[in-house]
Amino acid sequence: MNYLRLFLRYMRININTLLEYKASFILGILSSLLYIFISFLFWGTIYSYTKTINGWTFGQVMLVQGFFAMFLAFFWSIFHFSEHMDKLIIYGGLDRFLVRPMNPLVAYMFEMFSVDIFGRLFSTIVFFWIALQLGASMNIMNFAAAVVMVFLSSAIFALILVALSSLAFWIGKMESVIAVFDLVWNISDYPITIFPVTAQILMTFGIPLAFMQTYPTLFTMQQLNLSYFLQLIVIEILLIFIWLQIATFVWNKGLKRYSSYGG
Amino acid sequence: MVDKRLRLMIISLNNLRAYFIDFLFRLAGFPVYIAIVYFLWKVILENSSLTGISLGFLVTYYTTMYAVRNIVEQWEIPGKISNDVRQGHMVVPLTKPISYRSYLFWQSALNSIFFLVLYALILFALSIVFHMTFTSDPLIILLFFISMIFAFMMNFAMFFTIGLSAFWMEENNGIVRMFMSVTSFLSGAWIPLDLLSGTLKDIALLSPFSLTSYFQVSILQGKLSLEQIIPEFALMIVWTLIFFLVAKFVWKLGERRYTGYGV
Repeated sequence: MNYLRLFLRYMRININTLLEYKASFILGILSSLLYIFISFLFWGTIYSYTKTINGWTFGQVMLVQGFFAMFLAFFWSIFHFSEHMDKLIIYGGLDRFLVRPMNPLVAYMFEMFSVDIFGRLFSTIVFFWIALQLGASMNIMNFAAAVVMVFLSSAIFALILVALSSLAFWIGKMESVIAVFDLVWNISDYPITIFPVTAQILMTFGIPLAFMQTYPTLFTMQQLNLSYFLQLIVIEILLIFIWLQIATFVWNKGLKRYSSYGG
Repeated sequence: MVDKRLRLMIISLNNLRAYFIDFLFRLAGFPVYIAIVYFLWKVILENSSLTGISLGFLVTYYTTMYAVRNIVEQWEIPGKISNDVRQGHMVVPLTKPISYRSYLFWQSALNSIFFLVLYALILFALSIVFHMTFTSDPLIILLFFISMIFAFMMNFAMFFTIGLSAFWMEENNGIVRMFMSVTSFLSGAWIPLDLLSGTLKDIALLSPFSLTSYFQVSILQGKLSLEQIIPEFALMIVWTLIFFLVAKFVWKLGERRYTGYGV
């Protein structure tokens, strides 16, 4: 209950911040639109030379982009804290969370939470609209279930980043965490089924990219049956459990090594 | 003055040494990127109407592009400036006996020299193992290295100027993202500019951004003759001067607005 009250307070602060930085909000929307436009130009150029890529049409690839944009919206709004944890550790910012009467990780997550999720979901909507215009099919019920899959994938990814960032307790700067993010960004544009089977397995059980865009797209287009989809959800829940154990273990071990400014 | 620059470069080198593991993580993204390019274009070429372009050529193109962009791009500078402005850290560099711009420039220069040597070795090794074809003309290779210096300077001036937007807006992520989307597309990072069609191709080739990496990749791949390189070279020098003048002007405007702690 205390956590809920605290969360709501942080929300209020977040809303005030968002209202304060209107220009930044508008620029964020504009940058999303520009990214969509460039992505459209890129795929438009590719599809001017071919009709399908391993069975994927232009419209279906736009659906993949839409689901990845949705993943980013969830990740940046709720789990953004995991991307910057190394700086918190090495520059001593962790001190102020350690003196609070609550779990420092939860406190940091609440502080970094952004209510700008609706602004971020804007690009998702635009990508889906483009996909529909290009003839991609979407089943509404399946789409709703696919949203759950995307949300769970953002939680898995955040836990991976927490585990990686916590290594900063031992090895200092971990900009490699951002490199992992860049890596995901690089692959995210493409449906994973164009890659060899080994890579597909890695993108399902390693970095869960398949859950961020390809599986949700396939299910929304009714190209995955319900029982297979449910199995995938179970795998996601298992991955969350495994990564939660790893992240908590590394974080707790690291915390014991931490010495704040002034000892 | 030379002594100060040298010291700054040595500090940067020590940072690289201190965060060696982090650096290795970042380097791991390189083979993954090449693998993505290989599988994507393999599928596209199997189903496309593209003629006169081979998979080997495209893999060499994207590999060289990745290396060139990692050497010359200064994507971390806007974030650093924004951080210095927002958190009041700008006061520290302002009190140093070297200008803020030079301070950032020489810090970045060492990183770029380090990556230049590293990627030159990697590309040399790849050219032997995977038979990637690069120019063997010593004069053209020399021109490539000189063009890399100008590409670094152009990139620095551009990213520095964009970073200075932090003087006017608290949060400049949106504008930085917009800038990066446009420049990466127009510099040929998404797709070789030759594959674009009509007006889009003309716009990309006329823009100064094509001179920041597409030009360098084309030189190294031996696509340009000396007669084609010289005018582009002259244009690159002019654009470098323009970008530095703009950076100087915007810095003066921003400096007037800045009030740091205790200043």
